[in-house]
Amino acid sequence: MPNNNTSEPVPPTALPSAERIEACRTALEAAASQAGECHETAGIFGWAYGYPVPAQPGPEAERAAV
Amino acid sequence: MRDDESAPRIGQAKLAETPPVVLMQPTTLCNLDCSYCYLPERGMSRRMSPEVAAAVADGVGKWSERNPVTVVWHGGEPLAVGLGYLRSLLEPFGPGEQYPVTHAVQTNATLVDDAWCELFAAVPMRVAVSIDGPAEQNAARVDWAGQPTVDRVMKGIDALRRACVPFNVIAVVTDTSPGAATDLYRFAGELGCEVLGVNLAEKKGVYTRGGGPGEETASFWQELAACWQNAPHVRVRELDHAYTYIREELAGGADRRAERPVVPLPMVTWDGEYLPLGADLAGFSSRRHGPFTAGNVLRTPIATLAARGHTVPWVAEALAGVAACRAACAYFSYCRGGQPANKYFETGRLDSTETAFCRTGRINLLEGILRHAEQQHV
Repeated sequence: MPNNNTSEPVPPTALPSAERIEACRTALEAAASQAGECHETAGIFGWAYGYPVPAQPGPEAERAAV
Repeated sequence: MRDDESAPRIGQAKLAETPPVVLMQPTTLCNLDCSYCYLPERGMSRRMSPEVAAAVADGVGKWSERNPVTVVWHGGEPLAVGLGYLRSLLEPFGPGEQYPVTHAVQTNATLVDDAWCELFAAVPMRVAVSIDGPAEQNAARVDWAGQPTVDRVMKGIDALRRACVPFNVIAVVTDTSPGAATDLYRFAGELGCEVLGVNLAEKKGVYTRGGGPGEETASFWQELAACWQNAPHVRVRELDHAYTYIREELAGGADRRAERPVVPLPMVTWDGEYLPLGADLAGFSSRRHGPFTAGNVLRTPIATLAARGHTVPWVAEALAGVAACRAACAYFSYCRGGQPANKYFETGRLDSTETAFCRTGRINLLEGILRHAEQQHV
């Protein structure tokens, strides 16, 4: 379903993020499965960094570099 | 970057020794004068010497024995040094040891032409372009004569596309009103970029006017998450980051995420000063700490500077700030401690906790994603 923006403020919830994430597990798993892996970001350059490094060098390590 | 349990411990925050990325400042000069820019010396031309590049290359080669390393040529505008000069700075870097050394460049693209594209393809260098969205969103991006630059940026992007050089985009967003995220995401898709990075305008460095966007940013992020999920053809850096955390949270790994050491993101300035983190502090001084540097690569091997970086007082203060975030913030396992430069420029200290950047760029982002998911869940 298209989820259009709204300018109306949404009341803050008292639930911790972890509980809200768990409550939406199915929807979030579906979205997260399409997202890339990105452990750290810095606004001043256009890549993710800080991927966990695989045990042996190879194509995965090369992809992890940027 | 390894989860190195032997990394130095400052309170609860550890700084890993070997960085996965090194930012290089080949010049302080930028040929543009964007009104929101944080850089203090962008009107001056101070070029990095080949000796500085060689000193960094030596350390990077050693680090590549432990993990992949990306050298990011930043600025100023890195292409302003000229093609031949940048090539001379690239020369000392080898392909890497156990892991590869790769190169990337962050550019405004106004100087990109076919010759630059040949260099990008030959090295190879990954490219990220700064452009704020459709033409009307680029009013802040002017040259030193105050003239618009978006046509020159688009000409550079056309050269990249002709040469089949893939590129990412960073957009500084000042308009977070309804529809703005949709327009930005559509624009990124039409450009053909691989990854879109979204920076909400913020008070930082020599740019002190803005408090930037406010509470409405949760709706902006919600809209962006919805656009991306409906047609995920462009990766969005901020969404990738948030969903990586969500994956770890759903897998029960949030505590382990929180335990990981702080990942260094060092900057080497044009004259060889080394900052282990807080790259956007380069060129600034504080009354308590003096210039933000941990030493100079021309006097001390960069690997030594990295290994003892956590002992430098301002770095230790920044690591104490991460520990303070961990103690105080419910979002720590997601954010992992905020950005040192934002803390300093907003509060005057590096050991403070929540900033406007945390609220608009992290907390409201997660809030937008959760609202989107909750609407789907109903």
